[in-house]
Amino acid sequence: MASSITIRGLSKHYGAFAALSDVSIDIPAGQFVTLLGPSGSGKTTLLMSIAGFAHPDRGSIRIDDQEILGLEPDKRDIGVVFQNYALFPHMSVEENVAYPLKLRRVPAAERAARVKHALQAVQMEGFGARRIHELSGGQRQRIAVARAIVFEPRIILMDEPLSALDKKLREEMQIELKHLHQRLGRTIVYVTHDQKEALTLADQVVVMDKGRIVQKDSPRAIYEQPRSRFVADFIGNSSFLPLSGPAAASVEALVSDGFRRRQLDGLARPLLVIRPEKLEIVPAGESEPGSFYLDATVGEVLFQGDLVVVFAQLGNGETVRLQRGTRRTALSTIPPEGAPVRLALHEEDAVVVEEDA
Amino acid sequence: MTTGVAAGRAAAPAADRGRSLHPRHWPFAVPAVLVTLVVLLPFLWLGLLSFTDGGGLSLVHYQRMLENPSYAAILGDTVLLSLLVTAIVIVLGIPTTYFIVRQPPWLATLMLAGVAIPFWTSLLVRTYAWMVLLQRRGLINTWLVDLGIIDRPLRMANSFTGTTIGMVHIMLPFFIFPLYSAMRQIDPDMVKAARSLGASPSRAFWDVFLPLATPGIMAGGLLSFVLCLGFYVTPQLLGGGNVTTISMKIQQNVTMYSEWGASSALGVVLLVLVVLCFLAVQGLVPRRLRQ
Repeated sequence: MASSITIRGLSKHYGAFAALSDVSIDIPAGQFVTLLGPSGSGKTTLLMSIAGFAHPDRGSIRIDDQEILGLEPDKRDIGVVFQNYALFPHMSVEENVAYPLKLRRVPAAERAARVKHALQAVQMEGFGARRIHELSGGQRQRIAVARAIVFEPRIILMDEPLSALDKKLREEMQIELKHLHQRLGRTIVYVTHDQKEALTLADQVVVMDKGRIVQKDSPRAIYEQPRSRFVADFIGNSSFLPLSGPAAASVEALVSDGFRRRQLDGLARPLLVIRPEKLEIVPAGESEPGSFYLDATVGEVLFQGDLVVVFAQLGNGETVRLQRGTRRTALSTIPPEGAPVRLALHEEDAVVVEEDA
Repeated sequence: MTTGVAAGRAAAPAADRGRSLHPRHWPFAVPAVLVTLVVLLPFLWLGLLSFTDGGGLSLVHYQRMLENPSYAAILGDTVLLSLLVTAIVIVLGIPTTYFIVRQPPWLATLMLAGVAIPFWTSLLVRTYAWMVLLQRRGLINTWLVDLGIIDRPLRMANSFTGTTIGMVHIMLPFFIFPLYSAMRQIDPDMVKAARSLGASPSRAFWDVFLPLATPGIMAGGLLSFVLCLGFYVTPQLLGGGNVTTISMKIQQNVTMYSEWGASSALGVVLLVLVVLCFLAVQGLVPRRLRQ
């Protein structure tokens, strides 16, 4: 059944480069966890350390109560879906999926039944006799998943398995993977550099940067309560405005005392994070308490089909980004380019982080 | 009517491109024509020669080959020697190449240079070196006797054994180089995938790496075998008259008996053999593994 993963003080250096530095994390049994970060952030090294293909210098990885760092990859009982699928071209689909069972000396009849079951789980029944080169990218991805789940491993690891697919197929597969996880109830650790994918799939998102974990939270908390500029910047298209120093003059902060206490006190250089969809256009001169207000000039307006993106210029030259859906009523509220506009950000939609040193 | 004309105009240049060469590009064809003349003409002449005797068309050279058992023996010996050498080359070459491929790039390059340096050394020099090493009182026999492994010196020079040893040494690079490039192209994740699915390192090698390396093994093996079939210098020198290959027989026929027709016929037989081998290997390598 599903297993938990406990990682403590994991470090891995390649010469002077720290791929992982002192990473500790708890992944409860049955969770879908995505590791999100830019390239070089250590997410793949962390995944490959769990799989047994990277060898950390220090630390410990336990699955349930078993220390696995000393185990060879074939003794870890972990299913891995590789980025390029790594399906064996000299075997048929069926032989690929049956391979882990063959290695475990599962009797032929049971093997056939389990292969069939696994192919069903990824909606590929009837493809057993096909050759790998006869499959499309999406079909290969499904077979790679079938092969990784057929032997019922304790944990399933996925290394950017959807990155080779086009956008539409990728979004379909995300939903399928989510459903598959709900059906199987296995622990899944999933590496991606696609923020939307990470948020869509996960129970918990682990954001990594420079070999460290910078935040681990639910997708909603990651998006709405980023704890650092890095997380706020990496996820979403945020604008940042300083709330201290001379640049703060462009922001009218009519926020409550409670907000000040919770969000602003204790920060040396507070930075307001503005999510583009949370910014409202309000009538000129409005100044209700409980919001941040900005006076700006409408700049470029980009129509993207489902969204319209507006860049608004503040008096001090800073640009903030806002976005709207493209319903008629929403579009009609956007002033023409060059027109003055008053913007409001409600304090409950506002996030303040500390400016990086 | 208008559409037809337009379509015709559009189609014409496309068809032209496939068929003929623009006069501007004719000079580029000169080397190709020269090579064709230099290679193909003697080749056809050789074929023609094998079918002529005393000025007229005749099958006498082939007939003689069939009637004279010594020809069959020489052909058999040549094929046997080539097969044996190729088999040893494959058995030695696969682990060697696998070992090299698994090294970090700088070390792999260094090791390949180690394979290449003897490869660049004159064939004749290497063959003479083996003669010295394999002699009755050569280095190898002296050591084996001194170490007490054998009582009397082994007969290695001037024999089938010596020829085999020398040829294996010469053929190894021809096998290792194509196999190395084939193994380099195998995605390292393939072996990792096998390991994660529960295969021990050796299982992953046998079940996944080796099958994926098969086209390279076939290509290298074929190259070695074909070169062995026509090999002259090493069997001549290391065989010391106890080994006769087709190429040696051709040489004899030409220099001793001035039998150009018989030599040509042997040459044609050798060529047919090589072509058959190519076709056989082509059929053996599964289509899905061909690049």
